[in-house]
Amino acid sequence: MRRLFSYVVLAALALIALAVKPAPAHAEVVRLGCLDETGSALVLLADAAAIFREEGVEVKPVRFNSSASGLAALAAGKLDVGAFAVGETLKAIARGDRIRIIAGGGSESSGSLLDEVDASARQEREERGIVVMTAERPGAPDKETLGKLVSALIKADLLLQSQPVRAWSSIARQRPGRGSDFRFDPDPDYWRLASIWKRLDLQAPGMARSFLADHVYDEIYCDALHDLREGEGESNPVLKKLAEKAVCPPDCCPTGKKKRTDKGGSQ
Amino acid sequence: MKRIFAVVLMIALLAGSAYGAALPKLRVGYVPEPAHGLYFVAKEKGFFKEEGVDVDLYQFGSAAEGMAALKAEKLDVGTFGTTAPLVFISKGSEFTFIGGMMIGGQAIITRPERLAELSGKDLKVYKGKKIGLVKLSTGDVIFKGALKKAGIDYKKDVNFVEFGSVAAVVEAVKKGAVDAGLVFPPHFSLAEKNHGLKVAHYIEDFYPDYTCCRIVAPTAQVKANPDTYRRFLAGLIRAYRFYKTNPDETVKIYTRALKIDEDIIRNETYVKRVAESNPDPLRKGILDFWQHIRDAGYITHDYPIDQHINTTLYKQALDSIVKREPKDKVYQQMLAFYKKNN
Repeated sequence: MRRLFSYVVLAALALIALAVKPAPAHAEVVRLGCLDETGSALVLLADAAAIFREEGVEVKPVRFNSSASGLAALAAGKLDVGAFAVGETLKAIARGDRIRIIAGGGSESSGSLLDEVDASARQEREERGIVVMTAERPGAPDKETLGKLVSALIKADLLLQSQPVRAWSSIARQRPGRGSDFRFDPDPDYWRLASIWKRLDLQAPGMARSFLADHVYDEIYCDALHDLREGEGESNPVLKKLAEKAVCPPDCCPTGKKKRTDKGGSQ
Repeated sequence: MKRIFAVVLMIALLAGSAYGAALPKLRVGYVPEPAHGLYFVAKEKGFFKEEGVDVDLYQFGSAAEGMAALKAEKLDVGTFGTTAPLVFISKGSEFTFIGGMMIGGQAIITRPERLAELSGKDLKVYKGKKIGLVKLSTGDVIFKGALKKAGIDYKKDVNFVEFGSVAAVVEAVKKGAVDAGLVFPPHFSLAEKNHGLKVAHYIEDFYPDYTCCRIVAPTAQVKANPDTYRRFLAGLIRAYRFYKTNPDETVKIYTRALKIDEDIIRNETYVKRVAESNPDPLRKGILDFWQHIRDAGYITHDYPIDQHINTTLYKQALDSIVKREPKDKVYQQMLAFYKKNN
């Protein structure tokens, strides 16, 4: 009987071991700062649903109470990546912080037509929306790691759009409250950022015309989206919608571009 | 005797290296596209060096990577389509269009049984059809421009389906998921050869001399070294003459450089003439292209792109060559073409 019990225990342990997918041997630990709020859902979901891990990147989330404190930690080299409010982030860029925006996140939209017409309220909500950024300094995550992170955020968006109940149950605390409506978009969307930049009057005299564009790394998003479309199929409606919106210069010609081969599983 | 030979050889080598060292250098990026072959002709036939510029060529896997290298000042010249430089310029990058590399080149492919239905010279055959494309590719932008010019409301009357790559477009045509697909060279030749698909139209049938890949350079460098860029363009102008008058050797040069099937290169370049390697800046074509991107709603913000087009350097380079060879027919044709398109 004891022997049988031992076998059952061993079998159970083996099953558990198989169920927990090990991270690839080369996984780097990325310190990711974020706010504990609904706008951060893509980042939090990618962590809770092990999508970062599935993409081959080990993420250590670090919670912050405010974007200002998170951006300060990013500037001090205590974080590799951050997910903070777009308004604060753009102001930090204008001040000279060496950061680059790599993805979008969630922003509140009232859902009420009347409120949407109220420009100042809409703008304020936009500025509170989340963007994901990386520090630009020696030892910061390389392009490949950033690609994996952004790929995970797109997959988190797919999960959120296609299986909202499952997705929100894994980050129940961040689920939007009654009456509040959130939009999620992993696209860094340079043109949206440029509008906010302009509205906040952040373009100082003497700044290069490309100052903001130099701090938006949308090539990472375009590559990740392109690779996912090839991997997940052209027909995925969420990816299709993201591709319709993205402004990505297309590849041409018989390119020798390297494709990722370690994409992990699909959603 | 041996000693004399060694001394002569050393003097020749020193003179050669001094000649090379005296020339200003340009680092030129390109993507491996058959119609970009003028670079290889100019380099192999020594036109760049004869015009007084030393050119190093760097191949890139994608337009975005090439533009990033240009922006990071790792290149002095880039040829990465038309869309990519326009998008970069509209976002604040200080680049200037100084010339061109390719005119035309895009085709609409379909299955053989659909060919008759899509024949003729009227774009109306595409009304109500489902057409696969790669968003923001030259074919996408120009075909929509052609439809608009023909008075067809493509947002209402044509169903465009966007794909992530041209290979996916070919696959969709093959499977019948779309009625036709917009592809660029050499994919339509490959689609015909490998999958039995057919070219229904070249977009040139509806939109003559439209702009494809343009030559761009960092504005500050163009302003600082106009003579170097003028010499570079002169090398390309002479390469164009060679390409027009020496087809066999040109095909061999293109094939060696691009490692694409020689028959495909000959067929696209000289038999079907699907694209022309032409260094003209085509200012009017660039402005039209920008307008088509805006009309399609891809970029909502307007920007005065004309500030980033320099036709003067090309004209000066062409004039200097015409002065040397005033009776040459090819150069005279280039002059007429310049006047019409700039």
